[in-house]
Amino acid sequence: MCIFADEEEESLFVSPARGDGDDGGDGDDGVDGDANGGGEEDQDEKSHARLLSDMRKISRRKTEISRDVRTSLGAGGTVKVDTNDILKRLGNSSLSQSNEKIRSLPKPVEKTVARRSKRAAGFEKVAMEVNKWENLVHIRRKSDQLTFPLERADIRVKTQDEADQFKPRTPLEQEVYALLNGAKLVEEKKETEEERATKRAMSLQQVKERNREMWHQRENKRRYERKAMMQNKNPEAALEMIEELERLRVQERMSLRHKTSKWAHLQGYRATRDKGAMAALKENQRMHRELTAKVAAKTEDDEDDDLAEMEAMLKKRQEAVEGGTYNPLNPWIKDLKKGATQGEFQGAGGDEDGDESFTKFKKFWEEVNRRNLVEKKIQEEMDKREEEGEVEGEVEEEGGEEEEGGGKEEESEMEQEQELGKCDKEEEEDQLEEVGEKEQEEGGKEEEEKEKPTTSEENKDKRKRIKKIKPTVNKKRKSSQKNKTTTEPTSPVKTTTEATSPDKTTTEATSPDKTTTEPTSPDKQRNDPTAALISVDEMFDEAEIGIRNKVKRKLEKMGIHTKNDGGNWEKVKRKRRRGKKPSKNVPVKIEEFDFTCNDNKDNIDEKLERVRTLEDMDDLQVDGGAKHLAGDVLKRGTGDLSRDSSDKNGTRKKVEVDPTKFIEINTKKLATLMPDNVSRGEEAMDDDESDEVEDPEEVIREAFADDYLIDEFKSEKAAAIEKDGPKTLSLAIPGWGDWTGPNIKMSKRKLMRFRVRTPRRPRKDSTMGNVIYNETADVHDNLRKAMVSDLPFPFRSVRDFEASIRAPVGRAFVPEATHKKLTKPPLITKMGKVIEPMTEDELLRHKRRGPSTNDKRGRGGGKPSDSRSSRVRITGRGKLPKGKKRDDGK
Amino acid sequence: MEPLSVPESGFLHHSRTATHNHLSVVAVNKTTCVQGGAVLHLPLLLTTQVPLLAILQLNNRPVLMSLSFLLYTLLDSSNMAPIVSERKGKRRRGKKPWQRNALKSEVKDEVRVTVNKEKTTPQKYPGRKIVDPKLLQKYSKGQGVRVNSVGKNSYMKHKLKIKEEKIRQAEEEAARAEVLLTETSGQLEAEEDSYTAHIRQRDIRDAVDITSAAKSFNLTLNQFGPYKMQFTRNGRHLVLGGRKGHLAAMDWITKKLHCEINVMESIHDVCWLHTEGMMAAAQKKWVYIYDNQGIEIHCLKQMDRVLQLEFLPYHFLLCSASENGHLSWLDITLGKEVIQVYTHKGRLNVMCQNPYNAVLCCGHPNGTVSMWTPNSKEPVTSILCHPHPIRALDVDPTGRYMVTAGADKVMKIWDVRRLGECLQSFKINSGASTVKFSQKGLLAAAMGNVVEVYRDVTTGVTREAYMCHKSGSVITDLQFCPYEDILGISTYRGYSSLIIPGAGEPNYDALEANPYMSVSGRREAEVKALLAKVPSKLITLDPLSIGQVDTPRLQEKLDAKNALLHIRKPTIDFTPRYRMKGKSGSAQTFKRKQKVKEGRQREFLQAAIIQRDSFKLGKEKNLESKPAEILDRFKPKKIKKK
Repeated sequence: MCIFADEEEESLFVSPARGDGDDGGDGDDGVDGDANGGGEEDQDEKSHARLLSDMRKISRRKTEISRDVRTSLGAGGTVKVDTNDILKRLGNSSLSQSNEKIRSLPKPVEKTVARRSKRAAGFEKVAMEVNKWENLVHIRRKSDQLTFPLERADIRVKTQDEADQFKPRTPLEQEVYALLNGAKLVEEKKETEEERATKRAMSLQQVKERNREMWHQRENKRRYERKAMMQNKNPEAALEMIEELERLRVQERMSLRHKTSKWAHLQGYRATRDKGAMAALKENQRMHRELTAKVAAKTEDDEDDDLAEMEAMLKKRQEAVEGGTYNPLNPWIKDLKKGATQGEFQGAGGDEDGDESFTKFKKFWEEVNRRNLVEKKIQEEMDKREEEGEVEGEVEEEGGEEEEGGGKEEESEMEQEQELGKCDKEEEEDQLEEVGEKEQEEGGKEEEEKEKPTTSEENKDKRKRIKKIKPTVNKKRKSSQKNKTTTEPTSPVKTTTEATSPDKTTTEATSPDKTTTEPTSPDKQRNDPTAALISVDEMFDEAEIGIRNKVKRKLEKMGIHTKNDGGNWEKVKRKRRRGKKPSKNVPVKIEEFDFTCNDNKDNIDEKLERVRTLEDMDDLQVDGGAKHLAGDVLKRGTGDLSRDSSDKNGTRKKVEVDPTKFIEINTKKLATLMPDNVSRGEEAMDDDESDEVEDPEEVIREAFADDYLIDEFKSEKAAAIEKDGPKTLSLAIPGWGDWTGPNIKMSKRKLMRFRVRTPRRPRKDSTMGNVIYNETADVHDNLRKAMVSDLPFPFRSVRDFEASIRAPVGRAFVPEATHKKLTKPPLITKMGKVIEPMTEDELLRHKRRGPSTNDKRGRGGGKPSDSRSSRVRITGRGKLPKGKKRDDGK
Repeated sequence: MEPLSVPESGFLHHSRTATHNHLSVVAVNKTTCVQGGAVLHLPLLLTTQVPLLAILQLNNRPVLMSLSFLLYTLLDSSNMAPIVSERKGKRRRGKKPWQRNALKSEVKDEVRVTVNKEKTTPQKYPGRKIVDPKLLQKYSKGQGVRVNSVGKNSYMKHKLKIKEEKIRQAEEEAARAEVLLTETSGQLEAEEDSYTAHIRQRDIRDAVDITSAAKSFNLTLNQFGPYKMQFTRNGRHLVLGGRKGHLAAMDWITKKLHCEINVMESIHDVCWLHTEGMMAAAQKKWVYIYDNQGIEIHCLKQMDRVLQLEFLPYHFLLCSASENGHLSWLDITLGKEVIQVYTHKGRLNVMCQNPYNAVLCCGHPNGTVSMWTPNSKEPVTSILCHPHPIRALDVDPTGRYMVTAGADKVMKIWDVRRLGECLQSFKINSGASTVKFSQKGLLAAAMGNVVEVYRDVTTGVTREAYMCHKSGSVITDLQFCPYEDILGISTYRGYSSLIIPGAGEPNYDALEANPYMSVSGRREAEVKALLAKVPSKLITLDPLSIGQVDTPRLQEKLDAKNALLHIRKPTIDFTPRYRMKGKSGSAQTFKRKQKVKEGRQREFLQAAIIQRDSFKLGKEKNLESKPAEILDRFKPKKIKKK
């Protein structure tokens, strides 16, 4: 209200002055006002009367003033009156005071904001209050042993060292001291060098703390710098990357090959019969997953790693490019690809300009198709290489002629080919199955040897048939490939990659010896200038038979038995079923045959259930992932402990059954005394305890013990292996798709087909011929019940957990003192004593114990003071710096 | 640390020789480069305002670096200290931080040289004596927890660290306690051109002190012929069992006879039980237990026609091998047979125990050694050791080596822990009938009436016997006396003890086996041993496997867990039948669909939950219904709620 009154007053007194001011400022207004004449004059009069009446209402003195003002106005006309002057004249009145006070208060903040700020302030206060406990809590959580109830009073007595040295201050004291000193009555304690050093020195904890603090600072700085650097350089690149990813995603959607498209649906139907479709679907799904996966936001910590990685990758890629093995679409060198794209985004090189419409995704599928063809023809190409290099020149020429064709024709041909390929494949598969079954019936080790002639014959026939169907296709395919390599408007890197198929790159990359024996690159062959004019088809027909055999021989030399070149899936399947790990020098070759799967044995996800739907497939993969996870934990454990030595080697050796070489060891001659034939009688007596041995059979047996016993042991071991080994079990049920009845025999084929094989665990005695080790008897169930089968909380690997319980703590194993230390109870309580909550005194107590505990976290690395001074410094502790992560261990 | 100032001439030479790194530095004025030929512009303005280059020669490899960094390294590297040279023989921990930082810097010939100040004054408190690393290795508990690979909980990490430190200290303390083992084992050393094997027992007896000489004696017992014998675990008492029924127990050091009886039956083997108060004798038909007064306490009819007896002291198991091929274990604390297995190996007259893991080893006529635990009806392992029948075998007290003697006059040393590995093979002149290891690794072999003792058999250095002795009659049994340099041999005509220097462990652990135990001490030890009795269920080849994780089961659990984690509700594709009278409106249809869908999915999930419970992945609900386990007594006791 007071304010309001003041304002009113002001308006009352100032308004005329203001009018006057106007006059003074403008001049015209006043003149106009006068000149406007009667009507306005009347109005003036009226208002004036009202004013006066108003004035009268106010105090007397004030009206007088108003009158004064009025008169001055009326008299002066143009004379300027400054209100300030008037106010001055008023002297030290309440008015002048009121004028000073006039200052509008800020608008009160909104309720919510106010509350928020209040809350923030409150939080800060409470946080302060709570945080001061943090250090103490930290200490107590870390401490080895806690004692309750807490000790209260400080009843420490200062030792001589701790007590302050007396120093004379007053003149009198000094005088006395000098006297005493002169009389050598008081011996001044002199600090030795070491003591001084100790005083000056920091404690270990302090040093550690300081170091840590410095490290923190440095680390922060480093991080900041790096971040800044990254930010300066890369925002555009990052955007571009995101854009690219988005583009890829869109393309994937547009290509209608996404997961839910009609195509996928149909493939799903087909997948049950057609393995190619299944593979395609799987690939598609994989692509889908890749493309739709969220790009993980990079954390700061990752950044430097990423940088390093990127560099390494770029380097690798550079090497690959130089070596001519770089192929961005090759799944085996995907990493390099990643590096490449990233590098491009950073503006390293404009490799990836060119054909934008030719998207990666499309490329990928073309690659898939092309690969299918290439796979089929790879053998023939090898033939070509080996024998009829001249023909290649021809092919090249033809390719050159047809280069102009290019474009659409190419694609249509590709499709055609794909279809054809499919047909062929199916045929081949059928045949192969038959062959396979025959082989299986023959069984055993001779399998491979016997199959050779049959397969080759089969292949011959089949190949001929294929040739009849598509002599032209072959030609065209050649040309189209050629086209692709030459017409593609991408960078040289691209062209090389297109030309060299991924399989080639892999072979070259991983098996150098192979490349030396057989130059795999078809390009080189094409460039071979030796030319003989034979048509490609003829060449194929002629060369095929001989060369196939040759290749086969070669492959067999390397340890691979190829049954079929076309049945990719069959190949893969069989490989899995055998569970045969490819030996070290061959894996590449086998990789060549299966495009869809890696040779990684972990990825082999075969199950008893038949996979029917896509979801099932997904589940399969998920399960696989789980397996990895489970294996990981264990691997860490067992790998280090070398429990499974045979596993570690990777290659499973054949179980050793022959004990002879273990028994025969260099025997040294020991010079021993010959016993006397002391007492025949005694010996005789000795004999009659074991007169069973005197059996003539036994005597003969002993005489020929050598071989006899060894053979016996051999068979014993074989039996043990057989007994312990997994049993093969066939799930085939009689009567299904077959005649049934009493004494019906199921076909072996069927039994084989539904056979379930459990993996054979490596035996621990597999390397020792003279040992039969029964693991189930050794690590028996009773023991296993007592063993731990879980990893307790903080541990993440078996090895660590086992290490944590490795040391005995009992009296019998360690010295008494150590035993006590090791078995110290973590908590000591006093019987019958109430444990009261902690008071703030506890803070003080912990303060006193040392500056290091005090400064554990929070404050910077200021010069740590010695313990005595810190006793005083209690306040301002414990507050966490802003943004510092609190690890409370939960 | 004051910064190094570079002289105006622009030549700074710093050299410091340490055992590890030789630093020589040349800083060059302006851009002139003296060494290396490579020019690198790393201008640095020091107080002299001169841009400088620096070539650092580290381990004879030139490294170019900025001077600031260089100086930093110099100052810093001086802290690294020449580790080997300076700290030789000193404890590292004794050095205080301020001493490590000591730097001495001075300018000589316009070159500032900073050296690590050598400490001249000896430390006032040098700390405890440093422990011999070899000794530490001996007591090492193996590799510890990799603290960083454990979870993220810092407190847990801290605690693990502390625990590791404690274990380290325990190792150190154990190594330090070695000082308390004052006794050293003796040995015989021959002069040149002579052999220790030529030294007779009489010579030794003449040379040694009276007490030792008294330990070598003969007992002529030619009535009840061939004798079996055994010492107690503390080596103080001896039991002799004659084939013709003579059973005698004595304190062989004081020669005080506890008892002497004739059981009026053939005795095939004798064996002490956990104390010298009880002994077992395998008689013609059954096994009997006598106390040391010769009073028959038990007759164990579970063990019949026993040829060999063994006692497992930590498990309180009496084991027997019988004529008809049975192995049986009997818990003497309960008087119950643990298990009896039929070995299918015929007559079991060769048996010994592995003291390390309490596994029984049996030698068979088919040349194999089979190992048995009371937990399986089948041998844990069988090793083909000789292509001839095995006549004797023994395992050394550490459980590392096994010796087998075959009928082929070959004696072989095996690494027991790596089952099939034969370490040594010796051809001897005649087949050994008994072989035994001593505590210190000497090997005694009895061949007819000759007993020979070998040294270093496991390394294969030995070419001839360390000692040999010819007894008057054929040796039937022998054993090294624990904690004594005595080899006891029992023959057809009695018993004799031979002095074999360096055979026994010179320092005994009184908590383990005390030869000078008083009666009360023995009682207490008995009770303690009973409390610490190891369940027979834990006998296995690797006794430490109890501290290992059952990985197959863990794997199973993990797999099951993962399988459940990734379980997915089945998608149910259900199209409701069309119904008349407006019942197939979209809402109705949807509801029906939903109902069926949910019902099936619920069923599925319930099944999954049941499965999870079967794997015991969820919380275990009924702990009480679990059967008692052997390690239950180590579990914390349950607090009863009112």
